[in-house]
Amino acid sequence: MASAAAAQPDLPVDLMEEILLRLNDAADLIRASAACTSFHRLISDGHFIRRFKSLHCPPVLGLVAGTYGSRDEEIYFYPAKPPHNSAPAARALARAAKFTVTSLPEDPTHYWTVRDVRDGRVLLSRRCAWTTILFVFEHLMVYDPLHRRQVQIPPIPHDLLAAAGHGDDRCCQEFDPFLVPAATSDEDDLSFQVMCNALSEHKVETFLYSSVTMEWRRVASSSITSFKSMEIPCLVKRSYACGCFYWVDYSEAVMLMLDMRKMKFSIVNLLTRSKPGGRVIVEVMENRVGLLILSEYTLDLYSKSLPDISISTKGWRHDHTTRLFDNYQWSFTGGVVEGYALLYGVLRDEYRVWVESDRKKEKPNAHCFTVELETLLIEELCVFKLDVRPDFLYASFPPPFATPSI
Amino acid sequence: MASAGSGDEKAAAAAMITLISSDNEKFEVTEATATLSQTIRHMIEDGCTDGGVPLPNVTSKILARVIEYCKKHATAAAGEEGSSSSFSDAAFLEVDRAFLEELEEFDDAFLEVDRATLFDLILAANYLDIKGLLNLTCQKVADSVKGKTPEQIREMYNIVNDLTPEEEAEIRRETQWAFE
Repeated sequence: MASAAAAQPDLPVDLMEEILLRLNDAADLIRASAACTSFHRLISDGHFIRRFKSLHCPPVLGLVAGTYGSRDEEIYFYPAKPPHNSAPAARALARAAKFTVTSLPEDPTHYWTVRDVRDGRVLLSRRCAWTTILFVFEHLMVYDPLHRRQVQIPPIPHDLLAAAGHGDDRCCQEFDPFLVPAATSDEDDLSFQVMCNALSEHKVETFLYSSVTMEWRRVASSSITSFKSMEIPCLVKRSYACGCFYWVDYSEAVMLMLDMRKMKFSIVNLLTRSKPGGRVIVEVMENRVGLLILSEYTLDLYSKSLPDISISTKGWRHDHTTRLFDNYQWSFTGGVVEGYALLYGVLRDEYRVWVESDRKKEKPNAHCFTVELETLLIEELCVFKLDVRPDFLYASFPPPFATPSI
Repeated sequence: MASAGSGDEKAAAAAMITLISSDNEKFEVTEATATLSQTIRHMIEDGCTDGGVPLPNVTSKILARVIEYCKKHATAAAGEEGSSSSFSDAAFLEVDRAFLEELEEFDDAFLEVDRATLFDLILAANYLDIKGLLNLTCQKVADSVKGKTPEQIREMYNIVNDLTPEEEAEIRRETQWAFE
């Protein structure tokens, strides 16, 4: 290679494409695109960008807070901070996106609450200020903060609720809405689906809204007498893996599972050896469901193949253990996206000082960590005061690669 | 691997293929090794391997390395086929894990080559259609690009900057965050 005259790299373009596709960080791609014309042309190509996005999980760029009080229209976004790998992309997102929604006519008795975040979309519900626990079903909205688009979702029709045996009295029920993961990585597909569990004392009825038909329909129902915590959805952590939704409670030895292919609920036994609060369901492979269990100083990943999951408590395979920094007190929030889970750590010393001051001193900081599920690599994402508890991971490709989601 | 594989595998292992490099060197390999290459697999299926398989795009130096890779990974593939897919047997898993680690070590050592050889291996893996090798070598180049500036990428891969200063400035302006 002594002759520096080569104006082109020594590989044909299709092989350069194979190489550049294997970069998983969009920042690396962008810098490579500034190396020469052929790289720039290749990386700017729509076909290349689609392939790139189908091969890699979108990175976690920050956190979105679940509930908040007085400031009506603001969505709280906490970008990844250095030295987290996603910090530059998170800054770019924070600059380009608008984390406030345009409200319906001003109404101080209602405020927007984030209910779910997925695929670059934020699902909000408009909540009555005076109902403290119940999430009365009113308005739902899907918002794309990067492209500043919002779509209102109509309420579930009365007759549909009535036919499902829910009567007409919405105020007596809990509604738990959530986003359905995009079925394809086709970025031109702006359609989305929202699900909503209508919960009463003994059962859950599930409704599905499609942005294509613009209609709600009833899709599943189940008795929840053997999973009592479901009656108060804020106590239950919801996650999605291998084509199913799961609701896991802090204390119960079982979880509720909704198979999206069959639209069928089932109650599934979980491994019981764990301390309360330290469990979350994740996806480890296409057909393997993972169970992350947090102990005082370790994080363990178990997995089981999806078809076996409802058969018995046996068969959970221990895949990985990772030792956690022992100067932190750890907890889960339940936040999970494709490829990542979220952990909180509070420095034990800071926490002790605060508790010993009868909780009068300044609250300690909560350090937020992403857990990469493939490797159990733990990386600090951002830090905030203990009283803020963002529940949702915001994962998305950064601006030039992100396309509108609604 | 406790058992030595089925009778079919033994039969396949007995069949030998001759590969002929661009500089006319002949390499005798087992069919199991050769068929990691989809290109050669198709030739065998079409029955046109008598008298050897000429590979005019691959030098003897590179072909020797490619064969080294295929031999190692053909053994691995034979092991995988013999295993159950249920992951239920913990003892088997341990063996499996140790074997995978050994394979990873082999791959790491295999990639300790200069840039020209690495590019030749990519070209050969692509021509012979050996998915594992193409993935391995392309990933190696991609990893070396991680965290590098455009200047460093050009220097490493002998690339002449043919962007105009205006074009380059525009890329940097539009996606400034990636250069911070």
